[in-house]
Amino acid sequence: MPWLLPILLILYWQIAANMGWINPRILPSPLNVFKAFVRLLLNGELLENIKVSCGRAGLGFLIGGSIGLTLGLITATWRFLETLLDTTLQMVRTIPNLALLPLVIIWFGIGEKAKIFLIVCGVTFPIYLNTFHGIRSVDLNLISMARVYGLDRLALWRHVILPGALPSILVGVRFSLGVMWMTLIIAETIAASSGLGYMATNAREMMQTDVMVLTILMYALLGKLADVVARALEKRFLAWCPVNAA
Amino acid sequence: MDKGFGDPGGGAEVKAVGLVKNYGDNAVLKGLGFELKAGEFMAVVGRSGCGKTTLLRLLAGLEAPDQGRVLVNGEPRTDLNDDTRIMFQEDRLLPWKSILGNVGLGLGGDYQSVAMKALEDVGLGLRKGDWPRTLSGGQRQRVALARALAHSPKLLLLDEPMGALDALTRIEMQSLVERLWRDWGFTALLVTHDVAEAITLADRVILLENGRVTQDLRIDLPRPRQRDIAFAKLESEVLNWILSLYAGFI
Repeated sequence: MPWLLPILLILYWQIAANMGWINPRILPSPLNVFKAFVRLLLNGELLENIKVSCGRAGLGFLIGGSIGLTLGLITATWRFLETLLDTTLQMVRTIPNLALLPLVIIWFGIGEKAKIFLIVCGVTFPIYLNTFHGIRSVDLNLISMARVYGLDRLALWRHVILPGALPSILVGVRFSLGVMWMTLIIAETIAASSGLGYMATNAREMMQTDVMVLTILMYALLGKLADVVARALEKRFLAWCPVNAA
Repeated sequence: MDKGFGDPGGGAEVKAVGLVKNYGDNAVLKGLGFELKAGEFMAVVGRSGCGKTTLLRLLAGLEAPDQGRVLVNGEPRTDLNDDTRIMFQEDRLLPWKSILGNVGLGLGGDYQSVAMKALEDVGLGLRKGDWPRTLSGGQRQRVALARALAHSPKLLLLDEPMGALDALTRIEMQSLVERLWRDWGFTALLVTHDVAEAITLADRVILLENGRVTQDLRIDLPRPRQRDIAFAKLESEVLNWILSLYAGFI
Protein backbone atom coordinates (compact mmCIF):
# COMPACT_ATOMS: atom_id res chain seq x y z
CA MET A 1 0.00 0.00 0.00
CA PRO A 2 2.68 2.61 0.82
CA TRP A 3 4.22 1.81 -2.59
CA LEU A 4 1.00 2.39 -4.50
CA LEU A 5 1.53 6.09 -5.08
CA PRO A 6 5.16 5.87 -6.30
CA ILE A 7 4.26 3.02 -8.66
CA LEU A 8 1.35 4.95 -10.12
CA LEU A 9 3.54 8.03 -10.55
CA ILE A 10 6.22 6.07 -12.39
CA LEU A 11 3.60 4.45 -14.59
CA TYR A 12 2.17 7.84 -15.43
CA TRP A 13 5.64 9.18 -16.10
CA GLN A 14 6.36 6.29 -18.49
CA ILE A 15 3.07 6.78 -20.33
CA ALA A 16 3.68 10.52 -20.59
CA ALA A 17 7.12 9.87 -22.05
CA ASN A 18 5.76 7.31 -24.54
CA MET A 19 3.01 9.68 -25.68
CA GLY A 20 5.66 12.33 -26.30
CA TRP A 21 4.26 14.70 -23.64
CA ILE A 22 7.69 15.12 -22.12
CA ASN A 23 10.74 16.08 -24.12
CA PRO A 24 13.27 13.26 -23.47
CA ARG A 25 16.08 15.81 -23.44
CA ILE A 26 14.49 17.39 -20.35
CA LEU A 27 13.30 14.26 -18.56
CA PRO A 28 14.02 10.73 -19.80
CA SER A 29 11.43 7.98 -19.41
CA PRO A 30 11.78 5.58 -16.45
CA LEU A 31 12.58 2.81 -18.91
CA ASN A 32 15.51 4.79 -20.31
CA VAL A 33 16.77 5.50 -16.81
CA PHE A 34 16.61 1.79 -16.15
CA LYS A 35 18.48 1.09 -19.39
CA ALA A 36 21.18 3.55 -18.33
CA PHE A 37 21.32 1.75 -15.01
CA VAL A 38 21.88 -1.62 -16.71
CA ARG A 39 24.43 -0.18 -19.14
CA LEU A 40 26.52 1.49 -16.40
CA LEU A 41 26.17 -1.53 -14.17
CA LEU A 42 27.47 -3.84 -16.86
CA ASN A 43 30.45 -1.70 -17.83
CA GLY A 44 31.32 -1.38 -14.14
CA GLU A 45 31.24 2.41 -14.14
CA LEU A 46 28.33 2.67 -11.71
CA LEU A 47 29.72 0.37 -9.06
CA GLU A 48 33.15 1.93 -9.32
CA ASN A 49 31.72 5.40 -8.76
CA ILE A 50 29.50 4.27 -5.90
CA LYS A 51 32.51 2.64 -4.29
CA VAL A 52 34.56 5.82 -4.58
CA SER A 53 31.75 7.99 -3.20
CA CYS A 54 30.98 5.65 -0.30
CA GLY A 55 34.67 5.40 0.52
CA ARG A 56 34.96 9.17 0.80
CA ALA A 57 31.77 9.45 2.80
CA GLY A 58 32.79 6.66 5.17
CA LEU A 59 36.32 7.88 5.77
CA GLY A 60 35.21 11.48 6.28
CA PHE A 61 32.48 10.39 8.64
CA LEU A 62 34.85 8.21 10.64
CA ILE A 63 37.46 10.94 11.05
CA GLY A 64 34.95 13.73 11.72
CA GLY A 65 32.93 11.52 14.05
CA SER A 66 35.99 10.60 16.10
CA ILE A 67 37.07 14.21 16.41
CA GLY A 68 33.57 15.34 17.40
CA LEU A 69 33.13 12.53 19.91
CA THR A 70 36.53 13.11 21.50
CA LEU A 71 36.02 16.87 21.74
CA GLY A 72 32.54 16.35 23.20
CA LEU A 73 33.80 13.89 25.78
CA ILE A 74 36.69 15.98 27.00
CA THR A 75 34.88 19.33 27.06
CA ALA A 76 31.94 17.81 28.93
CA THR A 77 34.27 16.20 31.46
CA TRP A 78 36.73 18.95 32.26
CA ARG A 79 35.31 22.36 33.01
CA PHE A 80 38.67 23.89 32.13
CA LEU A 81 38.60 22.51 28.60
CA GLU A 82 35.03 23.66 28.17
CA THR A 83 36.07 27.21 29.03
CA LEU A 84 39.05 26.93 26.74
CA LEU A 85 37.39 25.34 23.71
CA ASP A 86 33.65 25.76 23.72
CA THR A 87 33.40 29.39 22.61
CA THR A 88 35.78 28.77 19.73
CA LEU A 89 33.97 25.64 18.65
CA GLN A 90 30.59 27.36 18.83
CA MET A 91 31.95 30.12 16.59
CA VAL A 92 33.51 27.79 14.07
CA ARG A 93 30.45 25.58 13.88
CA THR A 94 28.27 28.41 12.55
CA ILE A 95 30.38 28.57 9.37
CA PRO A 96 28.74 26.37 6.73
CA ASN A 97 31.38 23.82 5.80
CA LEU A 98 30.70 24.36 2.09
CA ALA A 99 31.78 27.99 2.42
CA LEU A 100 35.29 26.56 2.58
CA LEU A 101 34.97 25.00 -0.87
CA PRO A 102 36.90 27.63 -2.85
CA LEU A 103 39.71 27.65 -0.29
CA VAL A 104 39.77 23.88 -0.12
CA ILE A 105 40.16 23.61 -3.88
CA ILE A 106 43.20 25.88 -3.65
CA TRP A 107 44.63 23.93 -0.71
CA PHE A 108 43.99 20.40 -1.87
CA GLY A 109 43.06 20.64 -5.56
CA ILE A 110 40.22 18.36 -6.60
CA GLY A 111 41.72 15.17 -5.19
CA GLU A 112 40.53 12.94 -2.39
CA LYS A 113 41.75 15.15 0.44
CA ALA A 114 39.49 18.04 -0.50
CA LYS A 115 36.30 15.99 -0.28
CA ILE A 116 37.30 14.22 2.88
CA PHE A 117 38.31 17.46 4.54
CA LEU A 118 34.93 19.03 3.76
CA ILE A 119 33.04 16.03 5.08
CA VAL A 120 35.13 16.02 8.26
CA CYS A 121 34.29 19.70 8.76
CA GLY A 122 30.60 19.02 8.29
CA VAL A 123 30.37 15.90 10.44
CA THR A 124 32.47 17.00 13.42
CA PHE A 125 30.17 19.65 14.84
CA PRO A 126 26.81 17.89 15.03
CA ILE A 127 28.51 15.02 16.82
CA TYR A 128 30.47 17.34 19.11
CA LEU A 129 27.40 19.34 20.12
CA ASN A 130 25.23 16.31 20.77
CA THR A 131 27.91 14.42 22.68
CA PHE A 132 28.55 17.42 24.90
CA HIS A 133 24.86 18.03 25.46
CA GLY A 134 24.18 14.33 26.08
CA ILE A 135 26.83 14.03 28.76
CA ARG A 136 25.83 17.26 30.47
CA SER A 137 22.20 16.26 30.62
CA VAL A 138 22.76 12.93 32.39
CA ASP A 139 20.66 12.99 35.57
CA LEU A 140 22.88 14.09 38.48
CA ASN A 141 20.75 12.02 40.84
CA LEU A 142 21.79 8.90 38.97
CA ILE A 143 25.43 9.90 39.23
CA SER A 144 25.26 10.42 42.98
CA MET A 145 23.38 7.14 43.33
CA ALA A 146 26.11 5.36 41.39
CA ARG A 147 28.75 6.87 43.67
CA VAL A 148 26.92 5.65 46.76
CA TYR A 149 26.70 2.21 45.17
CA GLY A 150 30.46 2.00 44.89
CA LEU A 151 31.10 2.71 41.19
CA ASP A 152 34.56 4.07 40.47
CA ARG A 153 35.21 6.66 37.77
CA LEU A 154 35.59 4.16 34.97
CA ALA A 155 32.50 2.17 35.94
CA LEU A 156 30.57 5.42 36.29
CA TRP A 157 31.38 6.25 32.67
CA ARG A 158 30.61 2.81 31.41
CA HIS A 159 27.36 2.20 33.23
CA VAL A 160 25.90 5.66 33.75
CA ILE A 161 27.37 8.54 31.75
CA LEU A 162 27.90 7.00 28.32
CA PRO A 163 24.61 5.10 28.17
CA GLY A 164 22.86 8.21 29.42
CA ALA A 165 24.46 10.33 26.70
CA LEU A 166 23.95 7.78 23.93
CA PRO A 167 20.47 8.88 22.77
CA SER A 168 21.81 12.36 22.18
CA ILE A 169 25.00 11.08 20.52
CA LEU A 170 22.96 9.00 18.09
CA VAL A 171 20.84 12.02 17.21
CA GLY A 172 24.14 13.67 16.30
CA VAL A 173 25.13 10.66 14.20
CA ARG A 174 21.89 10.75 12.25
CA PHE A 175 22.10 14.44 11.67
CA SER A 176 25.69 14.27 10.51
CA LEU A 177 24.89 11.45 8.09
CA GLY A 178 22.64 13.92 6.32
CA VAL A 179 25.36 16.56 6.29
CA MET A 180 27.80 13.94 5.02
CA TRP A 181 25.78 13.13 1.88
CA MET A 182 24.99 16.72 1.11
CA THR A 183 28.62 17.76 1.38
CA LEU A 184 29.72 14.85 -0.75
CA ILE A 185 27.21 15.54 -3.51
CA ILE A 186 28.14 19.18 -3.78
CA ALA A 187 31.88 18.62 -3.52
CA GLU A 188 31.79 15.89 -6.14
CA THR A 189 29.59 17.89 -8.46
CA ILE A 190 31.81 20.94 -8.32
CA ALA A 191 35.24 19.46 -8.10
CA ALA A 192 35.97 15.81 -8.73
CA SER A 193 37.38 13.36 -11.22
CA SER A 194 35.46 10.33 -10.00
CA GLY A 195 32.43 9.43 -7.92
CA LEU A 196 28.69 9.74 -8.37
CA GLY A 197 28.70 13.52 -8.47
CA TYR A 198 31.35 13.46 -11.17
CA MET A 199 29.23 10.99 -13.12
CA ALA A 200 26.34 13.44 -13.04
CA THR A 201 28.45 16.42 -14.07
CA ASN A 202 29.95 14.42 -16.88
CA ALA A 203 26.51 13.36 -18.04
CA ARG A 204 25.38 16.97 -18.09
CA GLU A 205 28.12 17.86 -20.55
CA MET A 206 26.94 15.12 -22.86
CA MET A 207 23.24 15.86 -22.23
CA GLN A 208 22.68 12.34 -20.86
CA THR A 209 19.64 13.14 -18.75
CA ASP A 210 19.07 9.44 -18.09
CA VAL A 211 22.41 9.17 -16.27
CA MET A 212 21.69 12.35 -14.32
CA VAL A 213 18.35 11.03 -13.09
CA LEU A 214 20.00 7.72 -12.30
CA THR A 215 22.62 9.49 -10.15
CA ILE A 216 19.92 11.28 -8.20
CA LEU A 217 18.17 7.98 -7.57
CA MET A 218 21.44 6.45 -6.39
CA TYR A 219 21.88 9.28 -3.89
CA ALA A 220 18.37 8.71 -2.61
CA LEU A 221 19.11 5.02 -2.23
CA LEU A 222 22.39 5.58 -0.39
CA GLY A 223 20.81 8.20 1.85
CA LYS A 224 18.05 5.78 2.73
CA LEU A 225 20.63 3.10 3.42
CA ALA A 226 22.49 5.36 5.85
CA ASP A 227 19.22 6.12 7.59
CA VAL A 228 18.42 2.42 7.90
CA VAL A 229 21.82 1.84 9.50
CA ALA A 230 21.27 4.71 11.94
CA ARG A 231 17.86 3.36 12.86
CA ALA A 232 19.28 -0.11 13.39
CA LEU A 233 21.89 1.37 15.73
CA GLU A 234 19.16 3.10 17.71
CA LYS A 235 17.08 -0.03 17.92
CA ARG A 236 20.07 -2.00 19.12
CA PHE A 237 21.46 0.48 21.66
CA LEU A 238 18.36 2.36 22.75
CA ALA A 239 16.03 -0.59 23.19
CA TRP A 240 15.28 0.75 26.66
CA CYS A 241 13.76 3.98 25.34
CA PRO A 242 9.97 4.00 25.13
CA VAL A 243 10.16 5.36 21.56
CA ASN A 244 12.04 2.27 20.42
CA ALA A 245 9.73 -0.18 22.11
CA ALA A 246 8.57 -2.79 19.68
CA MET B 1 35.61 -7.23 54.08
CA ASP B 2 33.38 -10.14 53.22
CA LYS B 3 30.52 -9.16 50.98
CA GLY B 4 29.12 -12.61 50.38
CA PHE B 5 25.41 -12.67 49.91
CA GLY B 6 23.32 -14.51 52.48
CA ASP B 7 25.88 -13.58 55.08
CA PRO B 8 24.55 -10.21 56.18
CA GLY B 9 27.02 -10.05 59.03
CA GLY B 10 24.65 -8.03 61.19
CA GLY B 11 24.31 -4.32 61.50
CA ALA B 12 26.71 -1.52 62.14
CA GLU B 13 26.86 0.52 65.30
CA VAL B 14 26.49 4.20 64.47
CA LYS B 15 27.44 7.17 66.56
CA ALA B 16 26.99 10.80 65.55
CA VAL B 17 28.81 13.30 67.73
CA GLY B 18 28.21 17.05 67.66
CA LEU B 19 27.51 17.26 63.93
CA VAL B 20 27.60 20.77 62.52
CA LYS B 21 26.94 21.54 58.88
CA ASN B 22 26.55 24.94 57.26
CA TYR B 23 25.66 25.81 53.70
CA GLY B 24 26.90 29.36 53.37
CA ASP B 25 25.22 31.35 56.15
CA ASN B 26 22.59 28.72 56.62
CA ALA B 27 23.32 26.45 59.59
CA VAL B 28 21.53 23.19 58.88
CA LEU B 29 22.91 20.98 61.64
CA LYS B 30 23.90 22.56 64.95
CA GLY B 31 25.54 19.97 67.11
CA LEU B 32 23.43 16.94 66.32
CA GLY B 33 24.23 13.69 68.10
CA PHE B 34 22.75 10.23 68.66
CA GLU B 35 23.74 6.62 69.05
CA LEU B 36 22.38 3.68 67.16
CA LYS B 37 22.88 0.12 68.33
CA ALA B 38 23.80 -2.57 65.81
CA GLY B 39 20.66 -3.79 64.08
CA GLU B 40 18.46 -1.04 65.45
CA PHE B 41 15.76 0.59 63.33
CA MET B 42 15.46 4.32 63.92
CA ALA B 43 13.08 6.78 62.29
CA VAL B 44 13.83 10.49 61.97
CA VAL B 45 10.93 12.89 61.74
CA GLY B 46 10.87 16.66 61.52
CA ARG B 47 9.73 19.59 59.44
CA SER B 48 10.85 20.02 55.85
CA GLY B 49 14.27 21.59 55.79
CA CYS B 50 15.18 20.49 59.30
CA GLY B 51 18.32 18.80 58.01
CA LYS B 52 17.15 15.20 57.66
CA THR B 53 18.57 14.73 54.20
CA THR B 54 21.81 16.48 55.17
CA LEU B 55 22.13 14.03 58.06
CA LEU B 56 21.79 11.09 55.66
CA ARG B 57 24.41 12.55 53.35
CA LEU B 58 26.86 12.85 56.25
CA LEU B 59 26.14 9.31 57.44
CA ALA B 60 26.67 7.98 53.91
CA GLY B 61 29.93 9.87 53.58
CA LEU B 62 28.70 11.84 50.56
CA GLU B 63 29.65 14.99 52.47
CA ALA B 64 31.83 15.76 55.46
CA PRO B 65 30.54 17.63 58.53
CA ASP B 66 32.02 21.04 59.34
CA GLN B 67 32.40 19.94 62.95
CA GLY B 68 31.84 16.73 64.86
CA ARG B 69 32.06 13.27 63.42
CA VAL B 70 30.28 10.13 62.44
CA LEU B 71 31.57 6.83 63.78
CA VAL B 72 30.48 3.58 62.19
CA ASN B 73 31.57 0.55 64.22
CA GLY B 74 34.01 2.89 65.93
CA GLU B 75 35.62 3.98 62.66
CA PRO B 76 35.36 7.65 61.69
CA ARG B 77 33.46 8.07 58.46
CA THR B 78 35.39 10.21 56.02
CA ASP B 79 34.28 8.92 52.64
CA LEU B 80 31.80 6.68 50.89
CA ASN B 81 31.90 3.19 52.30
CA ASP B 82 30.85 -0.23 51.03
CA ASP B 83 29.00 -1.06 54.24
CA THR B 84 26.44 1.71 53.74
CA ARG B 85 23.76 2.06 51.08
CA ILE B 86 21.01 4.62 50.51
CA MET B 87 17.50 4.09 49.24
CA PHE B 88 16.36 7.35 47.74
CA GLN B 89 12.96 8.94 47.51
CA GLU B 90 13.00 8.35 43.76
CA ASP B 91 13.94 4.86 42.63
CA ARG B 92 16.96 6.11 40.63
CA LEU B 93 17.03 2.97 38.50
CA LEU B 94 19.15 3.18 35.35
CA PRO B 95 16.60 3.09 32.51
CA TRP B 96 19.14 1.50 30.14
CA LYS B 97 19.80 -1.53 32.32
CA SER B 98 17.55 -4.52 32.80
CA ILE B 99 16.04 -5.05 36.24
CA LEU B 100 18.73 -7.61 37.02
CA GLY B 101 21.45 -5.31 35.72
CA ASN B 102 20.17 -2.55 37.99
CA VAL B 103 20.19 -4.77 41.05
CA GLY B 104 23.70 -5.92 40.21
CA LEU B 105 25.03 -2.37 39.79
CA GLY B 106 28.41 -1.94 41.46
CA LEU B 107 28.70 -5.58 42.52
CA GLY B 108 31.40 -6.61 40.08
CA GLY B 109 32.49 -10.15 39.46
CA ASP B 110 29.73 -12.71 39.12
CA TYR B 111 26.92 -10.41 40.13
CA GLN B 112 24.10 -12.39 38.55
CA SER B 113 23.43 -14.95 41.25
CA VAL B 114 23.74 -12.38 44.05
CA ALA B 115 21.45 -9.94 42.26
CA MET B 116 18.98 -12.68 41.44
CA LYS B 117 18.68 -13.72 45.05
CA ALA B 118 18.05 -10.15 46.17
CA LEU B 119 15.47 -9.74 43.41
CA GLU B 120 13.69 -12.90 44.51
CA ASP B 121 13.73 -11.57 48.07
CA VAL B 122 11.58 -8.63 47.00
CA GLY B 123 9.35 -10.89 44.92
CA LEU B 124 10.35 -9.69 41.47
CA GLY B 125 12.51 -12.58 40.24
CA LEU B 126 10.31 -13.10 37.21
CA ARG B 127 10.85 -9.55 35.96
CA LYS B 128 14.65 -9.79 35.85
CA GLY B 129 14.94 -9.25 32.08
CA ASP B 130 12.48 -6.36 31.83
CA TRP B 131 13.26 -2.67 31.47
CA PRO B 132 12.58 -0.49 34.52
CA ARG B 133 10.03 1.62 32.64
CA THR B 134 7.70 -1.38 32.39
CA LEU B 135 7.33 -1.59 36.19
CA SER B 136 4.93 0.30 38.45
CA GLY B 137 6.22 2.83 40.97
CA GLY B 138 5.95 0.37 43.83
CA GLN B 139 7.75 -2.35 41.90
CA ARG B 140 10.50 0.06 40.98
CA GLN B 141 11.06 0.90 44.64
CA ARG B 142 11.21 -2.81 45.38
CA VAL B 143 13.92 -3.16 42.76
CA ALA B 144 15.75 -0.24 44.40
CA LEU B 145 15.47 -2.07 47.72
CA ALA B 146 16.87 -5.24 46.15
CA ARG B 147 19.74 -3.21 44.72
CA ALA B 148 20.58 -1.97 48.21
CA LEU B 149 20.28 -5.44 49.72
CA ALA B 150 22.50 -7.04 47.10
CA HIS B 151 25.40 -5.16 48.65
CA SER B 152 24.69 -6.70 52.06
CA PRO B 153 24.80 -3.30 53.75
CA LYS B 154 25.46 -3.04 57.45
CA LEU B 155 23.77 0.34 57.50
CA LEU B 156 20.80 1.11 55.27
CA LEU B 157 19.73 4.73 54.97
CA LEU B 158 16.16 5.21 53.78
CA ASP B 159 15.44 8.71 52.47
CA GLU B 160 11.63 8.73 52.37
CA PRO B 161 11.62 5.84 49.90
CA MET B 162 7.89 5.28 50.34
CA GLY B 163 6.89 8.93 50.17
CA ALA B 164 5.69 8.82 46.59
CA LEU B 165 3.76 5.55 46.77
CA ASP B 166 0.00 5.22 47.05
CA ALA B 167 -1.41 4.15 50.45
CA LEU B 168 -1.84 0.44 49.74
CA THR B 169 1.50 0.00 47.99
CA ARG B 170 3.11 1.89 50.85
CA ILE B 171 1.76 -0.56 53.43
CA GLU B 172 3.01 -3.49 51.33
CA MET B 173 6.40 -1.86 51.03
CA GLN B 174 6.57 -1.19 54.77
CA SER B 175 6.02 -4.83 55.64
CA LEU B 176 8.59 -5.83 53.03
CA VAL B 177 11.16 -3.47 54.52
CA GLU B 178 10.38 -4.78 58.00
CA ARG B 179 10.69 -8.43 56.95
CA LEU B 180 13.98 -7.86 55.13
CA TRP B 181 15.36 -5.80 58.01
CA ARG B 182 14.62 -8.68 60.39
CA ASP B 183 16.09 -11.28 58.00
CA TRP B 184 19.21 -9.31 57.21
CA GLY B 185 19.89 -7.64 60.52
CA PHE B 186 21.24 -4.38 59.10
CA THR B 187 21.00 -1.15 61.05
CA ALA B 188 18.33 1.06 59.49
CA LEU B 189 17.75 4.79 59.58
CA LEU B 190 14.51 5.95 58.01
CA VAL B 191 13.75 9.56 57.21
CA THR B 192 10.01 10.03 56.83
CA HIS B 193 7.15 12.52 56.92
CA ASP B 194 4.69 9.80 57.73
CA VAL B 195 4.35 9.39 61.51
CA ALA B 196 2.38 6.15 61.22
CA GLU B 197 5.15 4.74 59.03
CA ALA B 198 7.77 5.71 61.60
CA ILE B 199 5.86 3.95 64.38
CA THR B 200 5.10 0.90 62.23
CA LEU B 201 8.75 0.29 61.47
CA ALA B 202 11.06 1.85 64.03
CA ASP B 203 12.44 0.78 67.39
CA ARG B 204 13.01 4.44 68.07
CA VAL B 205 11.69 7.71 66.71
CA ILE B 206 13.71 10.89 67.03
CA LEU B 207 12.62 14.42 66.26
CA LEU B 208 14.97 16.77 64.47
CA GLU B 209 14.42 20.42 65.26
CA ASN B 210 16.68 23.36 64.55
CA GLY B 211 19.53 21.08 63.62
CA ARG B 212 19.41 19.09 66.85
CA VAL B 213 17.70 16.02 68.24
CA THR B 214 15.00 17.30 70.57
CA GLN B 215 12.94 14.16 71.22
CA ASP B 216 13.82 10.50 71.39
CA LEU B 217 11.00 8.00 71.83
CA ARG B 218 11.32 4.25 72.16
CA ILE B 219 8.58 2.21 70.50
CA ASP B 220 8.12 -1.05 72.39
CA LEU B 221 5.14 -2.43 70.52
CA PRO B 222 5.38 -6.07 69.40
CA ARG B 223 6.01 -6.70 65.70
CA PRO B 224 4.39 -6.82 63.22
CA ARG B 225 2.58 -3.83 64.61
CA GLN B 226 -1.17 -3.54 64.74
CA ARG B 227 -2.81 -0.16 64.54
CA ASP B 228 -4.39 -0.48 67.99
CA ILE B 229 -4.85 1.92 70.88
CA ALA B 230 -1.23 1.80 72.01
CA PHE B 231 -0.18 2.55 68.45
CA ALA B 232 -2.59 5.46 68.20
CA LYS B 233 -1.34 6.92 71.49
CA LEU B 234 2.27 6.91 70.29
CA GLU B 235 1.22 8.29 66.96
CA SER B 236 -0.57 11.22 68.55
CA GLU B 237 2.40 11.86 70.82
CA VAL B 238 4.78 12.14 67.88
CA LEU B 239 2.26 14.21 65.91
CA ASN B 240 2.01 16.57 68.86
CA TRP B 241 5.77 17.12 68.80
CA ILE B 242 5.61 18.07 65.18
CA LEU B 243 2.50 20.20 65.51
CA SER B 244 4.01 22.07 68.43
CA LEU B 245 6.85 23.00 66.10
CA TYR B 246 4.34 24.60 63.79
CA ALA B 247 2.43 26.30 66.62
CA GLY B 248 4.70 29.29 66.51
CA PHE B 249 4.02 29.83 62.83
CA ILE B 250 0.26 29.52 62.76
